[in-house]
Amino acid sequence: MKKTILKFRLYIYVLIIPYILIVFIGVYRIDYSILVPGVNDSVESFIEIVDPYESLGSFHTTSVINIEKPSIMMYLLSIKNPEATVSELPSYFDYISVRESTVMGYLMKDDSINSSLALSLDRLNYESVVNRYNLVYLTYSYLAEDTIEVGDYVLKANDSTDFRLEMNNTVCGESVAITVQKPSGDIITYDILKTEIDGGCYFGLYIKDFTDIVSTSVEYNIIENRTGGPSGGLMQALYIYNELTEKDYTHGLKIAGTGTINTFGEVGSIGAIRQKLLTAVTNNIDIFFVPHRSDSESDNYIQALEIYESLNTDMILVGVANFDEALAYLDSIEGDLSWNTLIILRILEVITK
Amino acid sequence: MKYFDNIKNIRSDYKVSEIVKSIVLGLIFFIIALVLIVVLTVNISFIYVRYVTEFVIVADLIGSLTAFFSVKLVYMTLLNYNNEPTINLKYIIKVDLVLIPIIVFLLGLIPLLYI
Repeated sequence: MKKTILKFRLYIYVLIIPYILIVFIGVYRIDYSILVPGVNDSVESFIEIVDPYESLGSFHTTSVINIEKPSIMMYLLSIKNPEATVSELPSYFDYISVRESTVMGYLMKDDSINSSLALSLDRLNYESVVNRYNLVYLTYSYLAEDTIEVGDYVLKANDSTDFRLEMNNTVCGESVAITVQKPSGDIITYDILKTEIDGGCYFGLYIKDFTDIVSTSVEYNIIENRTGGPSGGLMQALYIYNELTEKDYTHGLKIAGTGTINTFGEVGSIGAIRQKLLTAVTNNIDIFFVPHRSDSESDNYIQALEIYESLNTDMILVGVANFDEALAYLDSIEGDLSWNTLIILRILEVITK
Repeated sequence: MKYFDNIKNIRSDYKVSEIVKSIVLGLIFFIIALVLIVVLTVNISFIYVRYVTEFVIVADLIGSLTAFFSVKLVYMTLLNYNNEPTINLKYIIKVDLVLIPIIVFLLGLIPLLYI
């Protein structure tokens, strides 16, 4: 054994330092965030409507890869990469873990799917019972232990159901009595202190409404996957609507997009529009929907147009403010691709990829 | 089978400690190289996620090449202890230099099931 090691000692001496360096920069994590293009998941892969109408095309959500606390190597690969956006982690990341942030993403996705279902079922006059709760999506590390947790439903604060007003009116350094319902059903009241953190005053809770489908006449299954976040709402709603309607709104096309949805059909703004657009282009999407709520520079559609004009793509970019606009656009498309044309197109897609 | 007959008689030429030391050295080399391959593949795949399948296959090929050299290292070390064995060690080496990299390559394809 010693003889063999001595035979290769020169290689060991030369390579040991670069080896340790490469492994170190590949493993050591730094306080940045990196956004890179991700994937277009078919909505059908995670929402299954039982006994749907046939559709030739498909609806896809668009997700990006959000790397929180990347390695030094990932950072170096990203800073000169035109497809990546590198930024410092926001200060609140000092008080939350990557795991908790991921759980919040999954809860937001659940809410998004339920909102999409509620909207589509309502539009098609299917019977359904929908409830809305105030859910704790995230807790910060400065919140005391053995208190409110992620998944708790907030019922009231200081005996008032307008808990947001009560919490906003609480002065820094004072407590508010928040009553929550645990997932087990227990109702407990906690005294939560409003703490001064980084020049502001916070309770250490992120509370947002959560839509829950209690019952419906439509049979469906939700299949878990690795993506999180609410930005697939519009696509989910269009898919569900299409599955429950005899008319095929896909016209045989691959339709993707981004934008949150609420039960009123309003499409909300999202982040990482550049990466989502690039993801769609590389996945041969035919039509891409983007939220369009105003003509300001910060509007998603206005930002997307600027990027779109520099891309060499046949993909159609459509800005919409609500579900009805998106549906009206799809309704206005004339003709359908035949099955034969569709099969040929998809084979060509695979060959040329 | 010729291969298993020779393996069974390996202890007539080599002590158990010599066989173990040789295998350990080969394994150490393989693991050290594998760590580097995994670190590089994971880092690059996260940034260029649409090519993750291609990166995993390339990493798998490099991994099986590493396995090839690890097996060579094992037998190189073993031959240092006795370079004129009575068993047909050359035959065992030939079989292992083909079989083990193939096994490593096939195992390396498992991550693709989860991508």
